[in-house]
Amino acid sequence: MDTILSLLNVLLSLGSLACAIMVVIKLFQEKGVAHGILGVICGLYTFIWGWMNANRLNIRNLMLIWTAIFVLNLIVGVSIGAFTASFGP
Amino acid sequence: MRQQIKLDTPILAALLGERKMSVAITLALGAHGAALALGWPGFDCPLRAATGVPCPGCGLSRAGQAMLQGQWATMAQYHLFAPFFAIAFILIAVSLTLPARLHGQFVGAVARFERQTRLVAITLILLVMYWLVRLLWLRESFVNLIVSS
Repeated sequence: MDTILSLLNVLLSLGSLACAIMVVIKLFQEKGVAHGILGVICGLYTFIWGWMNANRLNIRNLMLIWTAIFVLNLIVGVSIGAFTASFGP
Repeated sequence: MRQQIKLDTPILAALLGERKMSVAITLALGAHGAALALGWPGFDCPLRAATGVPCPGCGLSRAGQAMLQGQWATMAQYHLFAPFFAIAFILIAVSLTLPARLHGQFVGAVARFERQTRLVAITLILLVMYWLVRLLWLRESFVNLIVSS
């Protein structure tokens, strides 16, 4: 069970990274290098900027996927913690 | 299209000028900080979560927490640039409390300061260099500190 959850966690993290990279590329193109670097430094800023410009840049589906992955990853992370606490590492 | 870094381009002022963005950043960072303080999971760095390699901003939240508790050595261990981000966060929060006319003047003043000093752009470049130094020469301790805690 723990292995399955860990594997799911890795897959979701890779998906999250892919979404983040796509939004950061948009950020570089739209707002220039400085804001792009800020986006790399602060994933939360990229996430917020992506949602605030989702309709204009037509990335609404991408942001929905990223948000779903973020929520799922939180649930999986908490489940792994609970599983480890109950049954040990 | 080739883009250049123009050091005198206002970065923080551009953020302050967008009220909706400022509100969203304040709320999101507040929620993230509160979650971490309570021991709950916050917004995880996508790069670190997927690859195990910390991004240039990794450690800033924990450095900010340590700074708020007056633990300066711990703050420096996690991220030396936390005070700059704390000041930026305070400026964003302050700008939200100002009425429209004062808000415009405030944003203008920050933009002038940025154009004259280039402080924000230089800080971002130094931060990336700081990250590269930690990643290339202090890799083991850096990765262990950020990933294990």
